Amino acid sequence: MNKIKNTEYILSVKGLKKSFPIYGRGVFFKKHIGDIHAINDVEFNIGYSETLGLVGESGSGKTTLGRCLLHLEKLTEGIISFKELDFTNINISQLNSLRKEMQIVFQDPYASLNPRMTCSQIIGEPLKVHNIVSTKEEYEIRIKELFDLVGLNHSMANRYPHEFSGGQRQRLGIARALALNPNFIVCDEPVSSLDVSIQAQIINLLIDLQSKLNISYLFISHDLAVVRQISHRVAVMYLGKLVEIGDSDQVYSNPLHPYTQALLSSIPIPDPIKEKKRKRIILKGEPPHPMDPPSGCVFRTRCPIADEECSRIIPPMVKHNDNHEVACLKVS
Amino acid sequence: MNTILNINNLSVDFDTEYGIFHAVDNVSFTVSKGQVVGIVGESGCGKTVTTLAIMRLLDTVVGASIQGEILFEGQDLLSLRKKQMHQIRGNEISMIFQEPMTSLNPILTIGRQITESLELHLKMSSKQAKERAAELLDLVGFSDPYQKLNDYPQQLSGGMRQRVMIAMAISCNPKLIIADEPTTSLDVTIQAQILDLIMDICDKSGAALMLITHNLGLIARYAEKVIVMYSGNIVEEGIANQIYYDSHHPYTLGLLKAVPRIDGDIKKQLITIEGMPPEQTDQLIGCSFEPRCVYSVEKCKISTPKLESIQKHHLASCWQSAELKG
Ligand SMILES: Nc1ncnc2c1ncn2[C@@H]1O[C@H](COP(=O)(O)OP(=O)(O)O)[C@@H](O)[C@H]1O
Ligand SMILES: Nc1ncnc2c1ncn2[C@@H]1O[C@H](COP(=O)(O)OP(=O)(O)O)[C@@H](O)[C@H]1O
Ligand code: SF4
Ligand SMILES: [Mg+2]
Ligand SMILES: [Mg+2]
Repeated sequence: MNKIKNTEYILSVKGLKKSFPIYGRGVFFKKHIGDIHAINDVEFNIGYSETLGLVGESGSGKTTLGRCLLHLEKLTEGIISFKELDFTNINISQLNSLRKEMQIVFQDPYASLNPRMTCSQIIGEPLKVHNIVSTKEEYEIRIKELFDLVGLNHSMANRYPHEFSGGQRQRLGIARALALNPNFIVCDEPVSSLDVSIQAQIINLLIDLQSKLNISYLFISHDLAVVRQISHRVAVMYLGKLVEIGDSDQVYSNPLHPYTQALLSSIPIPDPIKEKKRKRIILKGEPPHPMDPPSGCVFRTRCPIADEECSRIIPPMVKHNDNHEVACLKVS
Repeated sequence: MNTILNINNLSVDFDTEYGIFHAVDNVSFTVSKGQVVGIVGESGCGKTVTTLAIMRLLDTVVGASIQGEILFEGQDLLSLRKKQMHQIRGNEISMIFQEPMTSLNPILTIGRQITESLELHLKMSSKQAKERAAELLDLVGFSDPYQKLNDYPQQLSGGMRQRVMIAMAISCNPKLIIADEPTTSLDVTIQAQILDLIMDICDKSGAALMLITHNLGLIARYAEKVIVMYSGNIVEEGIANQIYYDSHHPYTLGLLKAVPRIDGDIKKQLITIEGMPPEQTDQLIGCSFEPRCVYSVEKCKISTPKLESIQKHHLASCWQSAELKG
């Protein structure tokens, strides 16, 4: 691993690309017919104890990006450094120690929990795999601690996940992610399948855990209102590209990219008078396929202000101010 | 008469292995001609079951029993023969579901699925039906309607399929459209397109719309009248402004506070509704929201509140409603 100088960030990403090759049926062998450009030249940092929200429509590459950070996908190109260490090309033992520090919480807690294990076994498994505890007492104490942390009653320890509600399962998923004391957690749509009242409980829990345990989050969601609630900064993704990134209050109060503007104007506000008076931008059409993204700016086919230039030039990420960057040729 | 749908004391029970489950419990409400009624509530509160009862789609569900009256233009749908109901369904009342893929037939072309009901309900010739089908696809925003008639559902994106569903739903000029979470599985920019399309169609044709969703923002944008359901009951009903600015039910108030928003100040913590909705076999005495309610008093545990008038158009079922200010 190369040491690269960088003390402010727990995680830095530079020039990240991830493509999935697509094969058609050939006569004698699989024929490579193209690539899905799931992530295309993405760059960002995440600070210590910071939450970076990642928003974008389905298929924009959010999950793939999260998986790349956790080393669950091989990068096509680019550099990811974690705590100042470049871990783009690391070996198995380095990967194992990294796994302790980086965890993931999924959208569907049920699909990610082994139905044949009790809750304490589920939470305890990583402790055993990584030899975190040496005695049975230590193990029990840690399990109890984790239950308390996520607000689950310890009396449920010997129950199975199917006996739990959606919200409780998500707490369980979070407890499992916390077991090894990670510094960084990718939360991939963690509240998307939960009802409003339960969703609020889980969001509060995640915020609470961050301040108690100094964890950094990449918080992935297609729900911009949820992301606003939890994120210090937010990144907006479209067809594998970041189009805008900045402090939450700036991006939400002064969205610069036409896509961000349209996205925000599409989110209804639970306030009838305000909502009916709002000016909305309704985008035409649907996102193009990532196998064949448009030339120039990837958003130009749906952009209300695109002109000829936009089909020729790939807009670079440009600083609007110290805490707000945007990739659009028409924003000055 | 201005009322198109009048539901009186509708109850739906399911006989399950754990006992009788009251999915919808003595629900009454009306929909006026051309009105947009929003029904909101968390999953499992009985929204879909209510709509299935209206469409008589519970007839074949084993263990389901329905009581009450569902008057459509004064006629009780529950007392209609199968054949009569078939005439109404898809013709006078039509439905748009959450997941169009499961309600579209994968082995029939888009064109065939639309023309089928045109031929059946409106007795069109196959040529007329085809013309009309292309017209409908054009109306819902397809740029190449004649070509699309030959496509199969799986060749289309989620948003496109929902457009096809809408084309089918409006094909016979229904007087009432029931849209059950029509955009829940779609991305927000597509969601805005689809809902604007539905509203536009209802505006032009004068059809009434029941918009069912768990999204309080969507209800605020589109609904004139709002019905809030909890655990099989209507807990509050009123015109949109009454519900959003002057709610008299703790559950509605709780929901409005718990939902994160893209406007206004960010609260450090969201205000939550503690606990979870009641399970199947739970108690039937007292207020069903009592275990989670921050306003509850002794009476709430022993006596079930009824939906009572707060002011014109505004109803709430809560013993403490007089104490609540929105
Ligand atoms: N393993 C894979 N093989 C091929 N294509 C993939 C794979 N994983 C993701 N993709 C494609 O990459 C794109 C981005 O997907 P994803 O990261 O899941 O988006 P999001 O999470 O934003 O919805 C999509 O077009 C998806 O189909
Ligand atoms: N066929 C059935 N048998 C037993 N219970 C059912 C059946 N259909 C629905 N239910 C139950 O009825 C309740 C209301 O369901 P539903 O109307 O689908 O809720 P929602 O408000 O989410 O649409 C749920 O608890 C559901 O589990
Ligand atoms: S009746 Fe009582 S328990 Fe029920 S909502 Fe009102 S105050 Fe709360
Ligand atoms: Mg995803
Ligand atoms: Mg439903």
